[in-house]
Amino acid sequence: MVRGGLTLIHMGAEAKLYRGIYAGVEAVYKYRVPKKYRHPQLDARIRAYRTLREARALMDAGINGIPAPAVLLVEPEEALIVMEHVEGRLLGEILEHVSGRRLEALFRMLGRIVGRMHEAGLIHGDLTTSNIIVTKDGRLVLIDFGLSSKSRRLEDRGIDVHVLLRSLESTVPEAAEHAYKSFLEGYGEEAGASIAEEIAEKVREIRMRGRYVAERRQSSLEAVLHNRE
Amino acid sequence: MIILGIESTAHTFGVGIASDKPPYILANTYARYVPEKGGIHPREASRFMAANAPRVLSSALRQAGVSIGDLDAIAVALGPGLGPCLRTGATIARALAAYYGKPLIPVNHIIAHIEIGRLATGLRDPLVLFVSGGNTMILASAKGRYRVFGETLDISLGNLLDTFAREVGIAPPYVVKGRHQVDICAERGERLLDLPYIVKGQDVSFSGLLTAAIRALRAGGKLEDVCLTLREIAYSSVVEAAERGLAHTRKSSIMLVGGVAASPPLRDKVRMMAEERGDVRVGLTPPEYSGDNGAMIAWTGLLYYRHGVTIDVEKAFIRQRWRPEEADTPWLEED
Repeated sequence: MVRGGLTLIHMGAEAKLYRGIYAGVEAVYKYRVPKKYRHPQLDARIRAYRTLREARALMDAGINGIPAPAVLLVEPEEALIVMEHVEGRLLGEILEHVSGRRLEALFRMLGRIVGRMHEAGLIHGDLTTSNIIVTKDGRLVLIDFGLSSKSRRLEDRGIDVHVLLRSLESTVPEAAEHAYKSFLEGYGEEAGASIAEEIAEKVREIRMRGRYVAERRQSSLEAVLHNRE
Repeated sequence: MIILGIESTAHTFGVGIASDKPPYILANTYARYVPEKGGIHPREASRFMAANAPRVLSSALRQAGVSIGDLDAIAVALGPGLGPCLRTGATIARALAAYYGKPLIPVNHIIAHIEIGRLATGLRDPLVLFVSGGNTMILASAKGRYRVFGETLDISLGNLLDTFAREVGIAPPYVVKGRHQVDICAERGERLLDLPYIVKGQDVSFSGLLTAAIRALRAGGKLEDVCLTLREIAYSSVVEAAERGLAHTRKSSIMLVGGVAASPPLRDKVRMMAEERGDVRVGLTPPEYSGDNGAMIAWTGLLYYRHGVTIDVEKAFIRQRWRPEEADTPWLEED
C-alpha cells in the first residue's frame, strides 16, 4: 500500500496521512488504520464504508463548487484515498489569533460554504475547526469527509452546525457567539435567510434535548419548581 | 480540614468524608436503590433515600471516626440528576448545615466524578470518558473549566444497556457481580450482526442502535449474537469518540469514570486504543469510586472549600440539568 517516497505528516484519530507525489501531483495519501479495539468484521466494514463515503463526498463537493481536495485515487478495500495536497493551516490553530473584522469575514465565508454544501444535499458529519484548512491566500477548504452523508433533512444540517458551534465553544469560548453570528449570515446568503433562521432554531432545539440543556434551565416552570422546593 | 459530602442524584444515596491529608478519603458509605422491576422510579428512589439516609450518615461518621462537630463544611451534589432524588439529598444537607452551623458547598456531580478519578488515578490533566446511566460525555479541561468535547445526542450508554436488557427480559437485576447482563450474555455470542454504528464528529448516538437491536431479536436473531453486536458497537463508538477527543485536545492521558466504567470489555477497549496511539496513559477509576458515591462529593467539596466557595442555605437550589462547563473549577489553572 505505502509506496516509496512517502512521508508521514499527520496521525489523526482514524487515519494516517502521508505526503507524496501521485501522477506528478503533490498529494496526500490517507490511509484508515485498523483499530484493534473494534471487532475485526466491524472494523473492516467501517473502514471500507468511510473510505468510499469520503471519496464520493469529495467528488460531490467538487461538482458543487465546495472547496475540498480533488480525489486522485480510491481503493476502498485498502481503506486508501489519494487526494490533492492543500497547503495551509487548520482553522482551529489560528482561531486564537483572529478577532474582529477578520473573524467575521472568515466565518461569513465558512457560512457560505456550508450553506452551499447543505443546499447540495451534502452533510459533512464532523464539521470541527480541525477539519477546515485556511490557505495562505485566505481561502477555506473543507477536509475529512469520512462521516459525511447525503441528506436534505433539517435535523442533519442542524447537527452539522451544532458540531461546529460546540467545537468553537470548547476551543475559543469567548469568541464563539460572535463567530456563529457571522457564520449564520453567510449561511443565509447561500441558502436564504429564512433557512438560516430555521437552522439556528434547529440547533437550539438539538441543544435542549438529552444533555444539551444549558439553555433550558431558565425555563419558567423549572424556576418555579426550584423556588417552591 | 474535614468535609462531609452527600450524593443523591440517581439511585445511590452516598455519604463520604474527605480530609486534606492522606489518605484523603476517610469514609465512603452508601445505600443503593434497586428497582424490583422496570427502571428507576424517581419518587420511589427518593423515598428509599429518605428512609436510609440516617443509617448511611451515621455509618460514614463511624467509619471516619469523627463527629459532626469535627466537620468544617457540608458538600452536596445539587445536580445534574433526578429531581426528587436531588431534593432529598439537598434537604438533608441544608438541614445539617443550618442546624450545626456549618458552611454548605454546592458540587456538580459530573465534576465530582472527574475529581475523584484524578485523585484515584493520579492523572493530572486527562481526557475524561464519563459513562453512566444518566450521562455519556467526553470532557477535558480548557481555559480553567471542564469543557464537553463530545457526548451522546440522545440516550446514555448505561441507559442503552439497561433498556435493552429490560426490554428483552434479562434484567433486572442489571448488574451481577460487577458485570452487566448485556456483557455476560455477549460472551456467548458468535456472530456479528449488521446494526447501526453512529459517530457524528465526537458525538455518539444510541437510540437507533437500541431500536435496531430489539428489532433484530424479534426478527429471529439469537439473543447472544444481538448482545455481542450491541456491546461491540456501543463500546467501540464511545472509544472512537474518545480517540477523536484525544486527537482534538492533544491530551496525553485518558481516564474512564462513571458507573459503566467498571465494564471489563469497555476497559479493554480503552486500553487497546491508548496502546495503539502510543504515549497515552490510561487511568481506570477503581470500582468504589467509578459509580456514584459520596466520597467524590466530599473530595470535590474540599477543593471548593479551599478556594472559599460556599453557598447560602436558602439559595442552595437543585439544578437537574446543570452542565459541567457552567460550574466554576477555581483549582484548574488557566491555560
